[in-house]
Amino acid sequence: MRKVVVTGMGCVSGLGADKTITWDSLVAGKSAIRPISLSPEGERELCFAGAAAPAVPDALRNLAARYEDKQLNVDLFSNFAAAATLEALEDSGIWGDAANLSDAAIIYGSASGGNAAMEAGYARLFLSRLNNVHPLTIPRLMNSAAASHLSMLFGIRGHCLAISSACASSAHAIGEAMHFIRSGRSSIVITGGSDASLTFGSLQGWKALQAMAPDMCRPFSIDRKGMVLGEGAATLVLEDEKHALKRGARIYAEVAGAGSTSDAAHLTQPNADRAAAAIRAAHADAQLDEDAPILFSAHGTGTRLNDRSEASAFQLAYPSSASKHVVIATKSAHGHMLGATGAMEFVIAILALTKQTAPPVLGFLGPDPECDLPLALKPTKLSCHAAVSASFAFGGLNSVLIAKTPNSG
Amino acid sequence: MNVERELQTLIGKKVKTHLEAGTKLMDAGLDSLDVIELAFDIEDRFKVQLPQIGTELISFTYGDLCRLVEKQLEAKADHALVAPAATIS
Repeated sequence: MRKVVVTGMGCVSGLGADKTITWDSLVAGKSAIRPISLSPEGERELCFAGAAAPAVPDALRNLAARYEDKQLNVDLFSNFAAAATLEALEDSGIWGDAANLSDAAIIYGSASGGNAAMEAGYARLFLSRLNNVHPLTIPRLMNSAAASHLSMLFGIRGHCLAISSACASSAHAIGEAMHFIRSGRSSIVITGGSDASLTFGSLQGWKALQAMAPDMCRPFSIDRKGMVLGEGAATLVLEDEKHALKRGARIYAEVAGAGSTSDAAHLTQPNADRAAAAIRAAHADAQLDEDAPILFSAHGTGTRLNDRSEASAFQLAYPSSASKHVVIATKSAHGHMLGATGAMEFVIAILALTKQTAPPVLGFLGPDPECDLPLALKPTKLSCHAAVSASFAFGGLNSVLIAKTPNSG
Repeated sequence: MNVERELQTLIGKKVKTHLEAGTKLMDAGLDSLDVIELAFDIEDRFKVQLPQIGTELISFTYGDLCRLVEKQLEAKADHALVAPAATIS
């Protein structure tokens, strides 16, 4: 079986415009979550969120320096994807390499697509009482817009697919990308995910679910009050190991396994058994013993139900080894990036493996007896060769990814 | 309102080409989607409704486009003059 490796990574979020700033912020315990105002007409709705707005100028400046304005005339979620992908391609050494890019594939996730494009259309129709919307409304809002944007912008001409599975979208995308390379269908796949859902309408949708925290995201903490929205994108360049070695690429990690299950039960209420089954499936695929020490990047939304269920899943999956592992939950720093979050957390998990350091869980007020996990509450030295990154999405869609340090078997 | 200057600005969002009256929009580098977006921008900027000519606009010259917009602006002005009388009667 072909080995799949990561040769490039990029990300943009409230934490910053690239992975270096992101990592430095994470280990320094900085959170991007702060009060912001969202409204179709002005400052009307205050909420706490991990807004990427401060990072947008830097992220888009890099794009604008290389591409024409006209090419960037898309929804923000597509340009987030482009910014993260530009960083990943440059990192991998294939940006501008027409032959390798032309043969590459794209498998990219988004949960929400172009929220801003859709809401701008509604604002014209229902607020301004106009009877038309911008002609690019549909091409900007479709969930595959980011994948197409990447293809057109970077000249990637192979298989191009968008995956939408709520908050597991980009985790599923990375898993599928791994299988795509394993099966020999492409030597390089550009994968990850993007979402830009900090819009007034999207916020109302999340608030209506009563899932939002009034201030901070406090994964697995006593008195946690819910999730906090974030936004942005994360991209990984996945490559057949032989192809990567042949061109002398730097290898960050091996994408060693993926496991996915569905709950077949409830739209929003998670199921610990099926989440544990996805963790076990990923371990089996990666041929990684459950007792081997790992870094576990939790989905950790900070909602009462999800965190409790995830803690149960963790105990079910690691019945005799839970205390050997280190658990991180970085939504406390970047917010819930929805369809981008699985890729963002996988990038962070790989950086943590590379640096053998776990970034701390933020906002922790004290242990919850229902969430008995070995949490990293301060930057923690690691001594492990594998990271497990979990995404448990609405609709009961579970996706778990495993990365191993290069040459660790 | 200077129609030519406003149109140059709107088209300038798409292409940087200098436009002569006889320059066809397609020769200036606009594609089929660009002209649909341009028609939308013109309607928003000038508060007029263009005829539903869709992508046929691409074969217009810049001069044709200026005349079309001026014609729509004149029609709007005429309508504004007639409308109050109609209301009174």
